[in-house]
Amino acid sequence: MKSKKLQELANKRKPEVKRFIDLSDGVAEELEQIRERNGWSQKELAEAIGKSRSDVSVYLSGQHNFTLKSVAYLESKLGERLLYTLSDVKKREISKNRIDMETLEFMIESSIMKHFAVDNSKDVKISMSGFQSKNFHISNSGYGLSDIVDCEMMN
Amino acid sequence: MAKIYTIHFVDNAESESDSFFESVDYDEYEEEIDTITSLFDRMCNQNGTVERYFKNEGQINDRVYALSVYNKLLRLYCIRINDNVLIVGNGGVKTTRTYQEDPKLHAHVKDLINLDRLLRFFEGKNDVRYIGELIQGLPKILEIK
Repeated sequence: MKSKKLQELANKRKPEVKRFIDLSDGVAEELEQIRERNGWSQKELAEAIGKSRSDVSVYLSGQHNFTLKSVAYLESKLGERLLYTLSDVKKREISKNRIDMETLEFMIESSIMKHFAVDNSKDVKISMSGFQSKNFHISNSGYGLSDIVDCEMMN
Repeated sequence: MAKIYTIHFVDNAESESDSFFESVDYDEYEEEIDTITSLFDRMCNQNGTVERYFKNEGQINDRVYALSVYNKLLRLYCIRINDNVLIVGNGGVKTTRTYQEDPKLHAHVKDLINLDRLLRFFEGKNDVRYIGELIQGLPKILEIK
């Protein structure tokens, strides 16, 4: 049985407090994972970042109000990212899509090589689920597939 | 990731956690209460009841901790069984240097220290077991989240 009182309190909670805890605890969890990956105690983590043990305890509590400067400082000390902005995520997504596109290009090229005897130049329209249809010019001298990397993901 | 439970003493009208949340004036301690319920969400849905969220508050070798809001006075005492199971007790506003100086807070912590001892006794006899997020063998412990 869940507590009605607790549910009631969660329902009237200010959204910004929940968001703050999500953000702070997100950074705390990244820090904790770095600590665990390195097999460090909290004291050793404190030494690695040039802070006191009690500072580390506060950072890991999931409720510390990190500033962007303090996150940048910790990242530079640890050589790892603790926080990603939306623009970071978008860049990573584009980069990931580009890799996917390269894989896709390779797969299509391989498939064409395997299944089509391309005696003459021809235009081919390729449609794949999740990608916009694209026209390609295929000839003996090579495939015009390099521009497939400019395809956009369709959601 | 985790489940949070509370206890209900037979002579009391409500569970310990409900008693705690009822006794604290929400308007006065809004930020603290919102922080605690948000931390509960993180524990249950993301990270479990990991030790970093708590301060060890009982005695050596027991599992009694306090969940406190940084730089604030509100304390919620609990038994952190492991990373998947938390038993929440009672608490209050800490205005003294140590909880032992406040009879009410001291009583709440002592209740949990005693319960922890009792649990260890039953755990030793295998009458109480923890399977993932579940407590087996103690029907009087209530799941609150």
